[in-house]
Amino acid sequence: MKFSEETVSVVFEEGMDLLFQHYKEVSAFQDIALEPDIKQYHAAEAAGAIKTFTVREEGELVGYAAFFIQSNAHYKSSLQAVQDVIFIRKDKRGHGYKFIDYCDQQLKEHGCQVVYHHVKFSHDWSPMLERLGYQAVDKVLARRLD
Amino acid sequence: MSDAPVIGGVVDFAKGAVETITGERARKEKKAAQKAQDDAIARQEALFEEQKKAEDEKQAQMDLEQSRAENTRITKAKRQRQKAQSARGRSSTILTGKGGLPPTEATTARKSLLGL
Repeated sequence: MKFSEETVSVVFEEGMDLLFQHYKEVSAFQDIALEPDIKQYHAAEAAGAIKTFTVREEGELVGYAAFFIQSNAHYKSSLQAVQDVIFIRKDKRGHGYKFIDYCDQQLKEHGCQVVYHHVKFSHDWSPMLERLGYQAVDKVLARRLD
Repeated sequence: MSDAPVIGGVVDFAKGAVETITGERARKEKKAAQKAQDDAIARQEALFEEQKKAEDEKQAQMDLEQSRAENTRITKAKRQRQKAQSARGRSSTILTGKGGLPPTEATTARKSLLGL
């Protein structure tokens, strides 16, 4: 497995099927259609506000992670990363720990002080994060209003 | 008499020309980069639509197969129920109808037929 920092284009051009697998597996609201705002991702990347990392096996894209990075509005001198998406194809799992650690090292090199991951209750992989030194700091809840 | 102002003027003119060329190049490069990004977005949006269509078709096929399997299951269960009812009806007629067995013996025989 090879981990690299790449661009959002790579995910949209090589990993479209992965995006759908990801959506089907973890989306909390399956009635809300997957419809990524590709333009917005490109704009964020051009502004240096998103970093994309990939997992490849023999050149094939089998996983990805993207983090929005920005200085925190409460602590403006602290650059912080918030995980947007993270996914590894089902049949290629078993490398998540190393991949997240790799992402963290890259984000550190980009000057990030803190990394936030959100974990679904239905797919709780927080024990892996805890083994990496993460601690639970927030709970995220959602309520449908439609 | 000094040539300095003239030389300076020439230098300033040349510098201005260089800046104009540099500025023009930067504008062209920026425009090209913007076009490349717009093209990439358009390409990726088309790829997404293509994948979405394929996924929708796959889902429709799965729904259809599931619906067919469910219908087959319902039809099979219905047939089995009808068959069982019909068998029960037949055994009652045979056992207790005209020329049949007396009621007590018919019940015993029916139980025996049903494997009870």
